[in-house]
Amino acid sequence: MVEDKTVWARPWTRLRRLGPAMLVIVEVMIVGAAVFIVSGVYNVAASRDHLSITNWLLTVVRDRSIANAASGISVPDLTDEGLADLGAEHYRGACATCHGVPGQAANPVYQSMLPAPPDLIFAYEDYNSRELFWIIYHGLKFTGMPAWAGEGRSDEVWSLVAFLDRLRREGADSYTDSERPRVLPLELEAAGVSIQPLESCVRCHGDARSLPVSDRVPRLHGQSEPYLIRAIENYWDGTRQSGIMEPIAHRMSIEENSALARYYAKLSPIRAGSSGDPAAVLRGQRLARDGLAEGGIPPCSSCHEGDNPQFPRLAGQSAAYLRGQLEVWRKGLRDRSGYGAIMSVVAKRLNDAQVQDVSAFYASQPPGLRLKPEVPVP
Amino acid sequence: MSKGRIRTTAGAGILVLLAGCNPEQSAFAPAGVEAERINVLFWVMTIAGGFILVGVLVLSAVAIYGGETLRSQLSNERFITGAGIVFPAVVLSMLLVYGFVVLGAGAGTPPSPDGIRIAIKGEQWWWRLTYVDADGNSFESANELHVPVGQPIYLELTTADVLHSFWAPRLAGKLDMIPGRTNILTLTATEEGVSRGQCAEYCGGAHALMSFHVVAQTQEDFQAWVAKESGPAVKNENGRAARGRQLFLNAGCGGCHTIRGTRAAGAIGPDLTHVGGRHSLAAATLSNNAQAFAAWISNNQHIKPENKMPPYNIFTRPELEDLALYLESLK
Repeated sequence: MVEDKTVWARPWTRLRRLGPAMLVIVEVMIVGAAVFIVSGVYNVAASRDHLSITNWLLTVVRDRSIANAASGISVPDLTDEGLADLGAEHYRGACATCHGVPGQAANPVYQSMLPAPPDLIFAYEDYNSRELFWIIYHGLKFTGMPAWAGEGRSDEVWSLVAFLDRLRREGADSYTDSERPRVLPLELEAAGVSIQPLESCVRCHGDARSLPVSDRVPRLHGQSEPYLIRAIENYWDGTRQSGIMEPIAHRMSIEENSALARYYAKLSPIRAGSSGDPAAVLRGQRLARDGLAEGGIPPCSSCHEGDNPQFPRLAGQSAAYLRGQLEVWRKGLRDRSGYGAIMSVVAKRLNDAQVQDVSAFYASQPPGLRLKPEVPVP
Repeated sequence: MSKGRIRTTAGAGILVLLAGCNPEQSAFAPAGVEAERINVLFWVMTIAGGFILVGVLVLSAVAIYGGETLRSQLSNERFITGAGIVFPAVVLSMLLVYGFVVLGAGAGTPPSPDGIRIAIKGEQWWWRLTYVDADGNSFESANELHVPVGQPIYLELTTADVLHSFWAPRLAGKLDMIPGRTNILTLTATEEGVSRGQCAEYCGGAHALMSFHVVAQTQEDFQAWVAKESGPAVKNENGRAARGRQLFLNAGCGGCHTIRGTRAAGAIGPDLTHVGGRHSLAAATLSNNAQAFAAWISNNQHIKPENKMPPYNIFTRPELEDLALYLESLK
């Protein structure tokens, strides 16, 4: 006891009393947390909103995380109508299920999610372009917002950002008015193709009477059947990446793929007016026909203007689409298939100007362009 | 280390050394005028240098262990002047003149007026050969140099990319291929036969896989070869080779390769008009047969990493075999 008293009297021992006291508090908190977690008291029901403190915490963490991750992203020209048109159609096919038609009352099923998918007409009130890009590309944990399905295809994501940007500038009518009336080809219904995959095709690629919705979308009219079939197969098994096409290919059966490929291959190619810079077209023609031996660039025509139906026909495609695909190859994507691996090597040897020129050339050509048949040299 | 292991190691070592005696690519087995001169130069230098080395060792031994008389003779001023100044000056001057003569020998031989000129371009990692006759007619081939025996041949050495060095050890010394320059090498084969050469300047990852064959043949054989090699590809194709030909043309191979007599007229890769008749494939990397063709087409990036040809994995096995048979048939 005597000893105790002398110890109590010393000033530093007060600090030593604080130690065990804090230990007790921490232990109580751990036990309390464990009881809270294991007991099942916390209600995870979507029917009950978060506490306001939880809401505040989640919102701050989410928005700080998005702002931080998106800070280095550079934004392309979003006023490009072709980009926004493609984004609008992808929205119609994929996003509208949860997010609803902008500016209209949403589907009560998806409004009962927590958090509920927001009406994206207000997207720009909370986020800027690069943040919206980041959200669409990477998705958000615990919200039901998925990451982009096409690995590496950030180029596609910008079409949706451009669409949201147009929605902000022009209002919801720009979306509802752009929906095109469609008459589905009867022969396909007769061939047993259900309405949905056909609608998925026609929505962007057009049909016998209409062109693709955007210059970012390839024109399938008169394209070779084996090539079209292979494209869907490659999207289906992940050989080719696209956040837009992979989900659509996933829903298609082998029979539907064949029937739809046959349908588009039979359509007569549509000549879409495209006049590039004549000098660029001429330079592109030289590259397409003669190649550039010292740069290791073979003539495009040696594969793309021949008779082999496995190679896509480039003449009459839009310059923006051709350029976009060449960029995809130069980024190191689309090289998992045998054919893609060949094109990957060639595309990486092209510089920016050559990509522009050769795209301008094929865009300026009438569909159905072919090399002359082989004339044997005596 | 046990005795047996020492024997094994020594045996293996000797085997490795003996492999160097393979005369196919040996400068010690000259088959050309220039290589002969280099060989003589080597032996003159080695033997004379050997004698001088032995002489110096003997004199050093005498200086250390010899008797008083011998040592006083060595320290004699006249001996030092003679063996230490006059002898080296005379010997080195003679060697210098001899070396100049051997070095200058190549440029001194004028090509015969009816001679054929051969342009050789080093590319990563193969050799593009263009034969030009006196009338200016030319044809292209690759990775195999044909020369007539007894006639001096002008080789115009250039490069498409980085430094290479052309070296056919049995025929001549090596000469660099320098960007922006044309270097001339003259060689004269003295005996018939097939020998091997290779790039002798590091030129990137697959440098070691950049070799070639030299075929020295009689004037008549050479003329016959030129007549055949300058012509279009053979047409005698069986069913499978004909299918292979169609595959070659349809798969875009002609974008990079030429086969004269077809519409394949690419200028990026080797001319394949008579590829089946060469002694090797892929710049003396593979033997020349259908299996090697098939392996190269589908797997070339593993055989010779970073070469310019894309991997071609678009063919089914039977298609690949047909294509390989067609290329093999192009003798």
